[in-house]
Parts: sequence; structure tokens; C-alpha cells
Amino acid sequence: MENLKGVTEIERFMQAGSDALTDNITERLATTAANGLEAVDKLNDEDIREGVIKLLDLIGNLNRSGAIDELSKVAEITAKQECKGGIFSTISMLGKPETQRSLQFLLNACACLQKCK
Amino acid sequence: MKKVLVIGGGMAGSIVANGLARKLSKELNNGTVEITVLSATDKHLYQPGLLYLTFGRVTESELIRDQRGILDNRIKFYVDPATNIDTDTKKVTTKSGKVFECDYMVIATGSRLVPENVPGLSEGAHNFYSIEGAKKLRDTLKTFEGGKVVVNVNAPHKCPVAPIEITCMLHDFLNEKGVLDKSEIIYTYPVGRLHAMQPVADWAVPEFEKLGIKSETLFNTKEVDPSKKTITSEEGVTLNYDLLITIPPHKGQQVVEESIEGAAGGWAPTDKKKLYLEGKTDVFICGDTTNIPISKAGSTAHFEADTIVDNISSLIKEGTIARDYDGKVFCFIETGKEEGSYVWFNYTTPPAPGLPTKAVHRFKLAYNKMYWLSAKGML
Repeated sequence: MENLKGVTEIERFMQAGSDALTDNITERLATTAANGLEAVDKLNDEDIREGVIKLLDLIGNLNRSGAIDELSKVAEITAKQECKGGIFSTISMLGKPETQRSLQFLLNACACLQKCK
Repeated sequence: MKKVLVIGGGMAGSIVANGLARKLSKELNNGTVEITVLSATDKHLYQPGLLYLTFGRVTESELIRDQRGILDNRIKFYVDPATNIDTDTKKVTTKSGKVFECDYMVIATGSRLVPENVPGLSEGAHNFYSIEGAKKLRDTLKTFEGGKVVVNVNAPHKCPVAPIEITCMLHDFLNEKGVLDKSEIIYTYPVGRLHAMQPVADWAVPEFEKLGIKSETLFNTKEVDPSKKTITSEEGVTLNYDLLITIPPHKGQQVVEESIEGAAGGWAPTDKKKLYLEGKTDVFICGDTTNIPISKAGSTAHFEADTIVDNISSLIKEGTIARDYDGKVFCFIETGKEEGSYVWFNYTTPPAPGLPTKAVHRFKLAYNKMYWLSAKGML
């Protein structure tokens, strides 16, 4: 008797699921699943998989060191800063050590990327 | 370096090329294997979706993707159809005049519609086997106020159950539109039953009876008179119509018919298990292009492609064939706008379609959206 009740409940549950679904919902769910699988399928490529893992490790390191939070702050500060324009402002900015360090970083990054195939 | 040349960028050609790219990934990366696809178009069409386009259920853009995006980016792809296929030297000449050489060749050029083989059919009948045809029929159905509809089936044709599907879906469409009581649906079929496969024909009889669909079997179309709106069979039966929907006869591609010995009608003589071109062990035939006497369906192409992928990759890696094709075909059957069934069979198991359910209909809709995963060789 208890088993029969359980079977009836499962049947009712399945029926409710079927009745609640529409063709459009089914298609949207399938599209999402397909797009998701398509993206996940990229991980079957060894190069992409290794790259994604390195990137995830990098994100972890950046987060642990607080760099992601700092980057977020930088974005906030930059958005609030006024840009006066004009050549003298640019020259004055170039004279600051942090600007020079940033430029150095970018130049190093470019030099490294040029070594890649 | 081993070169694989796939002629045709439809479902069969795409699955073979992508499947090989997966199986031979290392060899592709280290340059010991090269895969090339030749296609007649830069677009990839999900053909079974045309049935839904006819009833306004999907739009054209949902059925088409760029072929380049479907293929693994390591596959060389040319929109340059073959004009000559030499299976002895394994050289293919293309429309642009280029010559492609290969070690393994896969011919997956598909089929084409030849309504012009029946006088008056092109002018007098609608068909939903092309984007243009499906859209034209959709627009006609929108303004159709009821009348006599003839669904005319010619052979050979691809998508074996599509004629039954459109007939059942048409019934529900006219019912929903409120013009069913002013309409009559007549289904014609070239052999003496509702479908070439006996179990499917037996299954369709009560389904058609339930929907009040009439039939005229052993009806081999002789001609259509668009001005009188009549269709006549070789057997001497003439039917009047207000709306004629045809499944036109098909042929294989001209290049196959002209280049390959014994390819009558454009269907290449194929070993039904190994899927070789008969007499060749390094030329494979896939999808509609084979002359194997089984249904020309997307699933047939899919299962054949899987076999060919296993065999070519095994030949390249280990110098031997991996397995046989068992003749498997799987087809969903939409039995209306809300219910569906399915049928599967192979060389040893006959088809046995089951009762239509809403769940199978939804499964088919879900598959429609997941088709691209199949084309990419994932599903």
C-alpha cells in the first residue's frame, strides 16, 4: 500500500512536470543546455583545457594576493578622476614614478608577447 | 602526412570531419594528418527543422549557422564544390579548377530535389524540403481558408517519416485555425500501403483513421495540371486539390552520377557494412549518397559517420578497419502539434513505433535545439 502511494506520488510529480512545461520552455532549456555543452566541449581541446586551468590558477593567485580587489579599487578611482587634458598635464603625469612603473609593465608585457609564436 | 578529404559540408560531412578532428587531435596538431572539407555553400542548414518552419514554429535564422563555425578550426574548409571525383587516383577537381589529392576520401554530397522529373509538379505543388519552399508554404497556410489538401509522396526521398509528420501536423494546424471542418486531407503514397516499411505503415493506419485523414496508396505521380488543379497517377487515378503539398522525388548529386561508375541516380554503390565505395577500401560513402536500401535520414548519416570516423582513424593509427555499420536508423515522428513517437531499426531489428506521447514530442523539440552538438561531432 505504502509502495503504491509512492508510485502514485512519483507519477503525479512527473505529470506535474510535464504539464507545467511548454514547448517554448523545453526549447529554451535545450538551447541553454546545448550552448553550455558547446562551451564545456571546448575543454576537450588539450591546449584550451591547459590554458583555462592556468587562467583559473592565475585568478586564484590574483585573488589571494588581493590584486583583484586592488584592480577593482583602481577602476573606481579612475572613474572618479577628472582628466584635465592638455600636453602639460600628460607630461606632469609621465613624471610620476607610478606612471613610469605602469608603462614599464606594459612594455615588458609587449616584449613577452612578441616572443610567443 | 595522411590527407583526408571530405566532399560535402552537410550533416554527414561535418560529423565525419569533426569526429576525425577529435580522434586524430594529436596527429592534426603535430602535422601528420590534414583534414579538408569541400562544400557547395558556406551555410549549414538543419534540414529537419524545415517541418517546423512550415508551421511558423521556428524562424529561418534558427536553422542556419555558418559552416566554418561548425567545423573544428584545424580543419581546412573551402566553399568550392567538386566537379569531378576520381576515385582511382583519389583526386578531386573543384569548380574553381583546383585539384585536391588525398589518402582517404569521404563522399558525403547528399541528395537533391528533382520535382522537374514530374510534369507540372514544380509549378503546381508546394514542398517544405527547402528554406524557400517551407517559407512559401508557411505563407500559403496562413491564408488558407480550408479545402481539399493533397499530401503527395514521391520516391525516393529523404526523411522517411516527414510525409506522415506533415500530414498529422497539418491536421492539428487546420483544427487550431478553425478550418478543419471545411477541409479534407488526402495522403498519397507510391506503394500499396501508407509507408515503405510495413510496421510503420501498420502503425500509421489507426493514427490516420483517428484524425480522419484519407489515403490513396499505389499512387505513382504521373503529372500535375496546375491550371485544373489536378494530380494524376500512373495507375490512372486523378485527384482534385485546393492545396497540393508534395515530397518531390530525390536524386544524388550530379557529380557523383557522372564521376562514379555504377552510381545510378547519383547514389554511389556502397558496401553496406564497411561503407566503402564498392571495390575501394580508401573511399567511403556517407549519408544520402549511399545506395544502401535503408532510409535516407539525418540519423542514418550520423550513425554511418560515426562508423567512418572510427574506421579512418583506425586505418591511420593502426592500419586496420575498426568496425561495421549495423544499419541503425532512428527517427522521431511528430504525430501532431503536441504529441510524438519514434522508431528505430537496423539491419536485423525491424521498426516498431510506439504510442505517441507529449514527452517524446518535447524530446524532439529539445533535440532540434541540440542538433548543432551533433554536427560538431559531440552528440
